[in-house]
Amino acid sequence: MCSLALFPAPLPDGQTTLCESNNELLSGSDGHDEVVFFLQELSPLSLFFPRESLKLHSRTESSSRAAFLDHSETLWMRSAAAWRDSGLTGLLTEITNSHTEVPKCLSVSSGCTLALLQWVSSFHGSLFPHLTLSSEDMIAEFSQVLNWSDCVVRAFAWHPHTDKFAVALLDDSIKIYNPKSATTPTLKHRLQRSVAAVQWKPLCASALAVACQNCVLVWHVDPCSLSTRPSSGCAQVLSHPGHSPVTSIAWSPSGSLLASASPMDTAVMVWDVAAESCVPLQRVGGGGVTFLSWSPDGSHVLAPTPSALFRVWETRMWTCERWPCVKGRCQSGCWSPDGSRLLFTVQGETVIYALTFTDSILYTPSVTGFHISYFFCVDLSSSVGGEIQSLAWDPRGERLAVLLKGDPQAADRPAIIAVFKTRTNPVFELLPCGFVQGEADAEPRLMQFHPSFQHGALLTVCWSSGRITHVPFYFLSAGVPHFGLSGSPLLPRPQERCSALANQSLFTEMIS
Amino acid sequence: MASANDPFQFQEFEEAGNLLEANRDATTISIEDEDVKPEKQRRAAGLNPAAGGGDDEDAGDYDDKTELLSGQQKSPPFWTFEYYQQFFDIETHHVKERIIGSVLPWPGKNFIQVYLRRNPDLYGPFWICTTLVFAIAISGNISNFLVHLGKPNYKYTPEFQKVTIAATAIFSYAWLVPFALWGVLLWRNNKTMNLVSYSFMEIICVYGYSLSIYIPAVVLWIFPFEWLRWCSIVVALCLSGSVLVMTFWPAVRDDHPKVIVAIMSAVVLFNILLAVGCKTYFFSKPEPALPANNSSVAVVIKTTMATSNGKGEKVSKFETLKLLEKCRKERDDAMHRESVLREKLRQYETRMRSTEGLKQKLKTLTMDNKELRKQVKALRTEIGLECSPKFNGKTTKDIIYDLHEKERECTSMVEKAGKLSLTIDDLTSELANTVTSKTLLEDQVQSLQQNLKDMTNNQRRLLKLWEDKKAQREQFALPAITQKPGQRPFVHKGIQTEMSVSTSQKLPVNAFETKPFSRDKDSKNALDKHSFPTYGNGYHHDKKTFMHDDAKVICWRAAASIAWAVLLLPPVTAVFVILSRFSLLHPIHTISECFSLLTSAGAIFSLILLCGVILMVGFLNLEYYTVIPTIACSKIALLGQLLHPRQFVNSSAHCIMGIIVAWCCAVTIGGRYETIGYPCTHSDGSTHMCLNEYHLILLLAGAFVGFSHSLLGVIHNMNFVSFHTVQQYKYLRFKGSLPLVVKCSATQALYSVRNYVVVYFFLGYIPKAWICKTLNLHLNSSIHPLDSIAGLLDLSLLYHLWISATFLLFTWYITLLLFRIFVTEVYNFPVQSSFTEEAHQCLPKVLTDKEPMILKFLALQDLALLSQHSPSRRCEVFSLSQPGGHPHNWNAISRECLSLLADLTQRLVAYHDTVATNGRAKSLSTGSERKTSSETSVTSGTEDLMSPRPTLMMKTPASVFARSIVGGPQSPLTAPFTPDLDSPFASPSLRRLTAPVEQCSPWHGTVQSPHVMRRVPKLWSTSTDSQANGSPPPSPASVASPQQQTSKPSLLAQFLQNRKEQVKHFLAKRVLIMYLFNKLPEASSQALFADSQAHIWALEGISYLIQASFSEDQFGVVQTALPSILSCMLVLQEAVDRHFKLPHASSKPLRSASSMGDPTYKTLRFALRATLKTAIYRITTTFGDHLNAVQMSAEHRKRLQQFVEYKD
Repeated sequence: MCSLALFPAPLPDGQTTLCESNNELLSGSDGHDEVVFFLQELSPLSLFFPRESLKLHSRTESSSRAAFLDHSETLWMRSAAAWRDSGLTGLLTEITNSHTEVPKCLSVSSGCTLALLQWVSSFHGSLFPHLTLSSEDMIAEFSQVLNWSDCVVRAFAWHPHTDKFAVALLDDSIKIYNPKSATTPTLKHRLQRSVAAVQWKPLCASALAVACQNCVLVWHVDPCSLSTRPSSGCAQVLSHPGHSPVTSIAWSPSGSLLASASPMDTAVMVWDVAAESCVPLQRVGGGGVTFLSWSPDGSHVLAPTPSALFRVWETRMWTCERWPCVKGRCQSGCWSPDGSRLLFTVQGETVIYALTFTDSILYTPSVTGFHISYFFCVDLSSSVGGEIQSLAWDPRGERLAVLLKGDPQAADRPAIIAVFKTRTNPVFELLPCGFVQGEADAEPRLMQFHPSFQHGALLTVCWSSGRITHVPFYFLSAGVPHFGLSGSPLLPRPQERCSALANQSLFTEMIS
Repeated sequence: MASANDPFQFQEFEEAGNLLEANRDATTISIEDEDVKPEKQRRAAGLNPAAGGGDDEDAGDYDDKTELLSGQQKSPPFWTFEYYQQFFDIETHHVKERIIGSVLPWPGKNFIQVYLRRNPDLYGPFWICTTLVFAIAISGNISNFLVHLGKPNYKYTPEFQKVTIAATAIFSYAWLVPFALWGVLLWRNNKTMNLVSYSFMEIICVYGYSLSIYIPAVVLWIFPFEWLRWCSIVVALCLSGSVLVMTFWPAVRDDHPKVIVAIMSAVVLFNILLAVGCKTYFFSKPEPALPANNSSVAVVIKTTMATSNGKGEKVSKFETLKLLEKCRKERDDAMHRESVLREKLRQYETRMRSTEGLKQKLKTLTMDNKELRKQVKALRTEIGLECSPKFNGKTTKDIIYDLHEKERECTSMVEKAGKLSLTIDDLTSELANTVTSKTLLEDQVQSLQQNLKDMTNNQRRLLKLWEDKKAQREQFALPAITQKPGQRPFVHKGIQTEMSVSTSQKLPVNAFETKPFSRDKDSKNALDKHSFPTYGNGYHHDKKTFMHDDAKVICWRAAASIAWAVLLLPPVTAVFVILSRFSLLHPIHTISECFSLLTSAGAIFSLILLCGVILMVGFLNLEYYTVIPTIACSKIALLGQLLHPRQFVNSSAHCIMGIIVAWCCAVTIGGRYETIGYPCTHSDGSTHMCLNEYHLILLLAGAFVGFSHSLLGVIHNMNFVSFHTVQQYKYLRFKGSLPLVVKCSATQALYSVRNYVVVYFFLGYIPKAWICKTLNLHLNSSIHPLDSIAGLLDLSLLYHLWISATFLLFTWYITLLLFRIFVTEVYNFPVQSSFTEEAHQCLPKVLTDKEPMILKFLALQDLALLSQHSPSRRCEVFSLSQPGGHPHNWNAISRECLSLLADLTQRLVAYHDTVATNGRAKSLSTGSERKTSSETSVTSGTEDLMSPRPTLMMKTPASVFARSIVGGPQSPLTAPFTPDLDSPFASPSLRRLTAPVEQCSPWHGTVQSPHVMRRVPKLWSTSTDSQANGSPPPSPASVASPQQQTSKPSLLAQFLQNRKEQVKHFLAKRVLIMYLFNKLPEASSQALFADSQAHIWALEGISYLIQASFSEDQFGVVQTALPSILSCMLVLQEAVDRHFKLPHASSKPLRSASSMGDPTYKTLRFALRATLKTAIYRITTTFGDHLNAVQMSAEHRKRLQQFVEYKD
């Protein structure tokens, strides 16, 4: 139970972390030739989106009515327009305002109804304070991206099987980069606003799900197509009343289902994308769902709520287990590759918790019990870092990246990524690895591991400057047997874990 | 001004005065005493504003002015009289307003801001509290009196203590709680910045006014009805509580939610405490004889208070006398106490004396002791203890000390032992550590061994492949073997396996069959115990009984769903009764009436009737359901479905049930709907039975709604049962879809009632006249007829029609929903069983069965789920049969899945051909129709011999329309007017001619024949080598192709063709006809994929199994089938891709939310496309580069390579 103090000290300003090799993180100034040579392979993937290059659309809010001259319409016309524009509330407001034209009882009763509605909504808002936020603020609050509203790169997703990735930008467009093709399709859609998350469909080359403000879009981008602006006919719109803004989406690893979550909606929507039909999984309590994470083996889904409670759904019969947190809401979580262990963090604490699942292997629909333990894992309170924004575990279960928020008030505690070495077999262990840093004045905003990097793990980081860089971690995986010639890494092999490091283990699970 | 027109206060005072007069008691003195002062103050206050604000201003102006001035007025210090005087400075109408405001809380109107306006008064609160005190006391007394009224041995005694207690309680509530609240708010205000803060006086004022609602409530409590009291309490609580909550809401709104909840709940809680406390204390079971002395004590206290206050001039003589008495008593008491004390003193003195004596005794005893010691010492020396070495110089004390020493040593030894054990523990833990590291190493060793195993496996696979190659080479050498007539077209690479299967086929029919024994008696196990159906010809007989058994599962499920629907009926009926009879004016009356109605005999009778209806609906559901929707491709086909006799039976059943339900509704609603006839007096004075048109209209509405329900059921395919992609428990699924059902039934009822009203308006006179005639009823001419605009524009009538229709549809929909949920529940089939009797319920066996369709679907669903979730059951699939070592399970499953997929491919290809030739292939098809019919008999004859694979038919026994329209077994594909028959005109004339031939031969043969046959070389041309290699497509048609291609259109067919063209040409000019016969866009595509759910599951199951086989298949059973599976999938992929390039195929259907019909069949083709791609990707990602070792044609390899590179 130790802290970040055991980590090697962060690099001085201006040095960037290049990669991990031989069990140490190499920085930019060290000058390792073979590393630099190797990194050139990745260079086409690094991108830079200066903020100035994006054409932001001017924020036109709700109505442009003020720009037009007033024009006398009949009461019915106005009521109909109000009903169309803003629903029941608008209609009632309109009737109440035009009390000179309608019978008194009507205006009074509509005023009463309006007052009652407002009262009820204010009461509801006081129960769940997040409901009073605007949808943009809500996405920023619950997104996995640090400081989402100000971030040039709002979402990032690697394709699960190939080297292509999608980047959602501040101007609500999505660009798809593929090192093997010259075209970079740009996806734009009328409904594609405030993108909170993107994810590629597993076991599919083309489908990309996008969590937008009012709906979920599923783009079908033909990888062989040469067009740079796929038409909006390529996108399926999945929307459900009351299910907006969507802050998180998750494909099932088998690629058959898509789950989406909104902090406004207490139900998790499970979509059958082909049929465009959805099954709402309604559970009261919590006031919404902020984030979804499907375990890599497809058996569980983590679904935190805006209050101090998160749920773990089991995907066979879709039953859930409630886990009340102690302090705040669950901010982020990630699954081990075999789906047996869940790491999660709680807002307001600098601790990573671990949750271990032992699943009954037999397929019997009646068995649902799965959890065994819930323990306090690592305390990250230290001189650097701060609260935890998000967690990412590489697909082999060897490196765990933790994005720490830092302290906005203190200049010496910027946001930073701490990387742990992890071992899940035979006991769960966390060892310090180091900090990942970018250029001076660039804060990490978003990170993701490459899902199928051959030589170890590849961490992609989006920085506040608009740059996207990739930090490879070269190591030989202990668990995964590597095949033949193609799988062997080119870089010098890492030595055995030195004893000094092994003693510094941050956390070791007790054998029971 | 104020005093003059202030009847309210005057009355109040009078009331108090009355009370005082009535109870001539000492209590009143003090009260009256207090009473006088405020009264004076009030008068003073009433005059005051007149002096300050000007005499002639009216109320409104004055009001504004005070409001303005109040801020500037310099208020005197709070200890002065003037300070409080200003709070009594108030107008009558203000008081009235405030009281009304407190009684009627208005959302959004804050009491303080709206009514007080920074000008709180104490006048109202004080008087309200006082009134309340007296009201409580008086009504408490009265109610007590009323309770005991009439009892013989009861003598009424007024309980005056009630006044004091009420005063204490209410005044403390009205002063202390505001004080506490004020403090809390002040404290919270410092913590968080609030915009709103209230002064102490405002809070008191609010609290005081909030009590005003209790005054009428308390008066109501006089009546000795417990429910009335509680009702009034609840109402009063709600009103006053909401006033308080709404008032203090702005003050705490910005605070922490927990604090808000705490404050608000405290406010409400105190309110409840007060109300409920008052009620229970003052109006509960009376204690008739309260001890009198109690009251007298109270009286004395009051009097003493009065005297001490120097206001004793009003104390009566009686009182002084009483006081005197009391003093005298006290004096007596004091004297008595003095004597007692004296007695005590005496006792102490005697005790002192005895102590002296004791001291003396002690002294003498010590002296004796000393002497004794001396003697002991002398004795010791005499005995010689002093000189013995052991006891030398040791006293007893020393010895004891020695003993202690020893003990200490002992304890130290024990400690050492403990330490030793600790070290032992350490060592053991170290040992454990080493053991774990050992296990770690062992793990690594194991993984290495696993690697080794994998490698050997690979090696084995390679060997096998090599062997296969060898075998193929041999086949090249002897090509005649594969084309042996009668041989199954399936030639597996697992040569050994294949051989064994085919030998088993050649076994005599009854080789494995045991005699079926009668087991009708033990009905507890629905599906079991049958003869093992072997791969042979005894199959048909077997299937029949087997089907009978398996259908029982579905029957049980349907029965369970109906039982639940019946159980749900009473609550639904209760809700309906309450909704139908509810009247806003008498809510309580309505509810009590409803309850009495629900328990009446008539209600129970109608409930039984409704149960019967539900049973009937459930039975119809079971009879008519289908898992494959029948999709009408043109308007005329839809019309045909609607006019079909079976549908007629269905509709009339629904009509009758609708009438029954409507009759029950009419009885439960009661009133004017209750009976069909009523006695009425004619104009000439004679009485007759007249027709009650309200009853009639309700009954007819039921019939109409039932009829339209059954028609809509056909149009929306409501009998189609779809399977969900997401598995959920039944209860959760039911709960999830309940709101949808309510919404659907309400909207559907609305539309039905609208249509019904229109119909009744125009045609209502017909049934009316008919009923009148048959039942010999008269029409009451004095009442408006209902089939007029005025009669139908009756809101209550419309409401009752709507609610009855909703009730009817809701119960039926609920039954349907439950049926769907129960029937589609996952069923676990065993993969293999150790007993031969149960073999026919195993998954591979059920999969290959054709009927009932739903079981096949359930088996496929189970296959998809087991392949995804259950390693142990997958293991069974990959296992080898015990004697013989054949992968029977895998073979049966894969063969079935492949045949399903191949069937779909053929269908798609055939359809595509028809579309591509744009009807020109028709001559060929019609020409070959007769030819092939004879030929299919050959095919079908050989089919049983050739393979146990099912035919292309997807037929449910329950798909009524399909069955009865054509009158022969057919696939959805071949339903009349379906896409492959390119023109509907072809059918009537042609069918008449070809009917006798067609009826005896399965229709499918004719359909699949020409197109497929022509198509086959094209499709498989590139894969001829693979065909030669032993992986031919599993299609029997391809085998029979050479003979059919020789067939040529005959003369008769050409003549018919010409005639048809003429007729068509003629008819095409008629717009209506064209409208009817034009194909609905997209419908043909939907029809093609109508049963695709089965294909989806087959794809999922097979791909998951292949994925799992990579690590779980120990014997390599999957390897042999891999090439054929891959090619089958790729061919299907090609066909599907081609299909989606057709117009309308890729257009999405409109989503209609509010219909009970399941629209999933409309999107099945998209789901199939997605699943197919995913399945191929699943295999390619799992196998990766290993796929290079799989044999397949170059074209397929190219195609597969695209998948490997993620380019498709």
